[in-house]
Amino acid sequence: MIEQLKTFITGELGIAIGIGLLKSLIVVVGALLLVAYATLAERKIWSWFQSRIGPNRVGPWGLLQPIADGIKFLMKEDIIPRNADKPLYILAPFLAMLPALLIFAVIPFGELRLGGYVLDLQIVEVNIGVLYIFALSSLGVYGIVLGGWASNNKYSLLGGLRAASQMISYELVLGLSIIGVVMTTGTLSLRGIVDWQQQRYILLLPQFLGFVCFLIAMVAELNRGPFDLPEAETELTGGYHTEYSSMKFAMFFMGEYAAMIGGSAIISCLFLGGGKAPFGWQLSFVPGPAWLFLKMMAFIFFFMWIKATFPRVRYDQLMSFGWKFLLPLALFNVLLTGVLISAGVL
Amino acid sequence: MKLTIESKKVEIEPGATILQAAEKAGVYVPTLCHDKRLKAYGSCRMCLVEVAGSRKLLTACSTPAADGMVVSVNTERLNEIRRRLLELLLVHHPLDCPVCDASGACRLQDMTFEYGVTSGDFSDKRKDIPVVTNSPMIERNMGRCIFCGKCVRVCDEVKGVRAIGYSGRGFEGSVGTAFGVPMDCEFCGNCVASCPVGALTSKPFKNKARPFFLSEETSVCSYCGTGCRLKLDYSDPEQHSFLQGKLWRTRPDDQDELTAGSFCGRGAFGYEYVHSADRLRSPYVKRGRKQEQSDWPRALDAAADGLREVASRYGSAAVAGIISSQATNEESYLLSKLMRVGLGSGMICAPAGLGELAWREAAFEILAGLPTAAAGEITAADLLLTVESDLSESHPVLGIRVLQAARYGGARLIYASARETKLSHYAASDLRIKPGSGAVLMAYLGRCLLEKVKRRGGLKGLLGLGEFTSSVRKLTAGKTARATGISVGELTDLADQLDAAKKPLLLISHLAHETQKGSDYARAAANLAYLLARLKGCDPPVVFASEFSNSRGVLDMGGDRSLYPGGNLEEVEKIWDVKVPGATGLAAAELLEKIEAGQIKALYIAGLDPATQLLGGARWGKALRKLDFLVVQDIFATEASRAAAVVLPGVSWAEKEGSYTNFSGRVGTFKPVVKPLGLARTEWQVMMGLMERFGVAANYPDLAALRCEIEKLLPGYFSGKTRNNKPGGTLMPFVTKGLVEKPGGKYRFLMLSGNSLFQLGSYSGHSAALSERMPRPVVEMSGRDAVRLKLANDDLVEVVSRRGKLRGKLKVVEGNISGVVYVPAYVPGAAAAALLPAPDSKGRAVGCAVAVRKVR
Amino acid sequence: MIVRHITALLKGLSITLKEFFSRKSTQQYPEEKRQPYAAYRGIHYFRPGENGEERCVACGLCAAVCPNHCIFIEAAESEDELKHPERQYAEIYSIMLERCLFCGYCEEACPKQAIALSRRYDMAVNTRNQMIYTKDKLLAEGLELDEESVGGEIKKTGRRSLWGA
Repeated sequence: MIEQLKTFITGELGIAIGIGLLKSLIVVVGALLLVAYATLAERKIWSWFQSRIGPNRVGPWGLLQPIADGIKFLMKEDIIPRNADKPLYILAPFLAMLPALLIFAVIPFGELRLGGYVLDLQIVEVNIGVLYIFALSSLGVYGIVLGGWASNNKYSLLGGLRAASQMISYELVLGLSIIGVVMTTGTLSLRGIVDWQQQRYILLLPQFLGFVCFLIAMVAELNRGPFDLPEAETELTGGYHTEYSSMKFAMFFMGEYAAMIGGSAIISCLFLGGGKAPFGWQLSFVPGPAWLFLKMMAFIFFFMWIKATFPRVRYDQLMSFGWKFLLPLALFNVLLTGVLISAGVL
Repeated sequence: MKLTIESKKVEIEPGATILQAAEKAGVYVPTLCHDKRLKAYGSCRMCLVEVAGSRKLLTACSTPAADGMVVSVNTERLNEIRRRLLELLLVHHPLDCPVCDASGACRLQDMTFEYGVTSGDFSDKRKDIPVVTNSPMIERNMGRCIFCGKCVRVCDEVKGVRAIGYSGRGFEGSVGTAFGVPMDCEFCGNCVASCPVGALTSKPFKNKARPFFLSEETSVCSYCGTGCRLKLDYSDPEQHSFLQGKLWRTRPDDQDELTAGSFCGRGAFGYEYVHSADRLRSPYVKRGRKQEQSDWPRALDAAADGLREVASRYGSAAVAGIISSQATNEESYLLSKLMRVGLGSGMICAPAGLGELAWREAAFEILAGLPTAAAGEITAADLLLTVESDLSESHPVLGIRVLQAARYGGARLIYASARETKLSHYAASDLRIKPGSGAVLMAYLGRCLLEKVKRRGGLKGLLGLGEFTSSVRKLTAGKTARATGISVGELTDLADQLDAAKKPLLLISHLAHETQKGSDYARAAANLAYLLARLKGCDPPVVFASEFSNSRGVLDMGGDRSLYPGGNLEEVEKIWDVKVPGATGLAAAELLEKIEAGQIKALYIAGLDPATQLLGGARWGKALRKLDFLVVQDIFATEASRAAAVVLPGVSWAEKEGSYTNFSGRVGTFKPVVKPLGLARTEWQVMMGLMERFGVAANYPDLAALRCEIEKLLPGYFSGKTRNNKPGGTLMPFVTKGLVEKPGGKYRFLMLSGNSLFQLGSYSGHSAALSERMPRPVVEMSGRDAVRLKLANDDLVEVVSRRGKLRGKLKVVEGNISGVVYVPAYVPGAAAAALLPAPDSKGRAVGCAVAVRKVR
Repeated sequence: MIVRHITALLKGLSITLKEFFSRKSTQQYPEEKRQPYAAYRGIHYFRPGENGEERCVACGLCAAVCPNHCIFIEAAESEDELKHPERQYAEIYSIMLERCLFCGYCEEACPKQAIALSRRYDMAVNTRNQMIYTKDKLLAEGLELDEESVGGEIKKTGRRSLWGA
């Protein structure tokens, strides 16, 4: 038995599983760390935008703030409302967080060279990575809708409903806006798209319309300001997570940030060539993952920037903008790309 | 007479002043020294008015109004003068408003504000006179005095005491006592109440609360049967967080026609018992030999179970109730219903004041048929006859009316008593009669009047005439003179005066401790009143001043076995819808005997302490310990409550809603102003709790509902329409019974007892100011006896009877009849009741022989 | 039109970006304290008397004028002539600062210039009871406060003299 186990572990499959687990661990831990510090970053960056200093009491420059927050969340009383749908109420935060983390499975972070050994940080390469991502991102809304429903609270329910309709509307734009990328590269594999761009050119300018549509739709998908209608604290007192407290609330929170980080990674991969150095700089001493990380950070900063700048849009504005402007624009991008491809420009 | 004031036309009676006319016209005239009780003084000059055609300005308070006068009150010239006057007053008046008790209720402050005096053209040094604190209860801060003279005049004109007067001249002038000795007066508080500024302050109140934080509620005094309306100044924490909820002081109500704005020492300083530290705060239930603190459900259960057990074992007649004469009407009614319906026992007794056996037969007659005159009739009378009663001490506010009538109202005051009191000094004839001979005196007067009435044919319809006539046939002038100790001439003169008077009035007090009065006294008084009524063609002219705040109401409410609410048994059975036990008399004496004989096994005591308040106090103390089961409801721990199986803490009158019926049947209602202390609960709610436990319907959500039921039996009781003026009446045969215990041998003094100015019932003993004023009894003795016993004023003496003894301070009163000592009742720690014999079951005056010796 | 909209958005972004690099206006509170204006009305204190006596005579005007009824006084009489020259003094004096709206009427009403409002504003405490400022606390406050937190001359003489100095 032990012998068999030994042979299994040292066998090809065993090692593959081992490496997979290791990669998952690195990515998930890294992602969660990022999530934690994204919260700090958000508070800090907002403060700066608002001419404040932001949290600076826990640790140097407030660097231990996320840990303090985490401890606080853990210590808080976990309240389940008496009339809540208990199983769904408990399930919802997990549903909100899990898909966001699962997205990290297919993102081609690039390779990490450790001495002679090369570790491919992409946990798994699937040839339909883009579809996988779309599938997961539409799952993410379940957490919110169920949370809103199970709380048995009118604010929560309204938040959940808004999330559902917002998701459906912007999912379309999101999907249509990367058709151009897929058409150009001819692959659904994220790795394929990144490789294509690394070999040729990044798709930011050729697919500029698509990029803009994708960016806006993604902000809406992530429920981030100015499209944060599902939680809209000024009108819905927190929306879907009104009733949530303690770690459950934290999971919603983490889910949102994880989705934001994942989204930044995806948009970097799709339009900015992933770990490719920009402007053809020959800076081989900077590893690819670092470039990707920088790009992601830039997007995250951008998300925070717009949230700090723009007021929340009205619900009808959100809908009409999505359906009447973005969707036609994305369709036009598909048409344009087709024309350009057939004209041989791309 | 018609005149115009500030272009308002007003018609007035001749003789009224301009100020009275202005009041009638509704024109405000500022005054500082005016008081409607007093003669016009005109010292403050604030009330100066302009009268058309007169070059001089006239003071409205002292100038009689004339027909066709045109008066201006609010001209610029007058207001300027008033402003100047105030400026001049403020030259010397210190601006110490922040520490002045009057601040906020100060006439000078109000007027300074009203006339906008913010600065003055005059300056001089402010008065810096040290505060005189050597008097008890009252403090004089003469720096603040504005010399309106109200206090001095009130003390003289209203009270007839003249304890304070002016001294010094000019800047050095002040109000004080002769030679600056501490005040030694009646401490009625009227000078303090009348002071327009803060020159006179009440010690219990001073420097504690600010008038502008106090709420005011009109109430009734809880002490004597006069039933003066009082204003209670209390703090309502809901309105101001400045003070805790507390009763801070009492003030007289100048809108009350009974008092006309005066009160007495008990009313002024006797409120402190409300917040006394000795109050019971929680129910107690006896477990084994110890009383343990308990809660209400358990205490009520214990009380109900105990009473029920005794009733089932020995029959319901073994359970009795005894109620204080300071209980409210509502409580008396509920206790009466609880005992009669809940326990089926008719054993209810209302002893203090009126219920004593000596008084019973006459009392019933008085209550049933004899309307007692209201206070206003004292003022209207032209002859006041008071026999062995000193209203100025037992009922000080009625005493004020008597004095006013005698001094200013043109009434002849005839004062017949063994004691020399304040009334002696103002009496037209001051007759010193032998103690206990008042009955004979009145019977003789009745006999004299009988002939005169007969001659005028006014005897029709008077019952009991034959018996009465034969009973007094032998009562000749000579015999009466021998019995009373006054001359035949004086007696016939007295009879003639009574005959000649247009409005004679008989003033009679009946107090529990008056050992010299028996049923013969009451009969003689009632007979005399009926005969006077026939002679003058009016209602029986008599004031029966009841002892306690509700002596009368307790009986009206059926608080006594022989009396039912409304007096009609069938009516009561109809309204209560139950068979009510029949009536035979149960006086305190009988109750005591029955307890001693073991016939009564359980007792419910509502609000009194028999050992210190009832005659034969010493016997009561022992009798209570013989009981199987004793429930005591009281606000203080007493000898009775210490022996009780269940103690139910009650509340003071300031904490509950209720009503008291005064001597003339006026019902005064009062409302709670402070929250009950600790766990204490209002008596009527506790009684309702007990009634529920006995299965008696007690569906009274509030007192209004209860009063509604009472008014079914006594229509119009609470609106004062219940006095029935029966024209007839019954004369009762007069039999001189004499005293049960006559002085002689070792006990050679006759002890008389009555109510003092400072001690009445159990409340005064727990009011700090009153107790400090009279910590021990003041024993009065005639000059001759004092010389014989080598005693002097202020000697500590011991008064010993066959039953007990007490110590007091001797006061030599030259004019008292010799062979008599007078001891005030109800002094805490020295209860006269303990010395007195138990009431006599034949209704004779008990008398009390004592010896007096000096304590070294 | 789209261009106009986009420029508007960009303009907004540029404004926030400018703020991002601007000097921060945050004050690090417990370390750096804001100096309030001279007439600022903060925590109450009792001004010490010139000869060490208590100025307050419990006249109750502050409690009377207080719109929120947050002042509670129980007056009493003192034997100590030095400490209470006017005999009457406040046996209990407490201000419920949680209720107080710092209108300063108490200070204006005070005929003895006993109570005054300092410029101290740091009144965060852990329990409600600590928000009740008793007489001892107010007196201690009066002795502790330095010139700065009292607010200089204005506080020393009272804002308006009603009764003369």
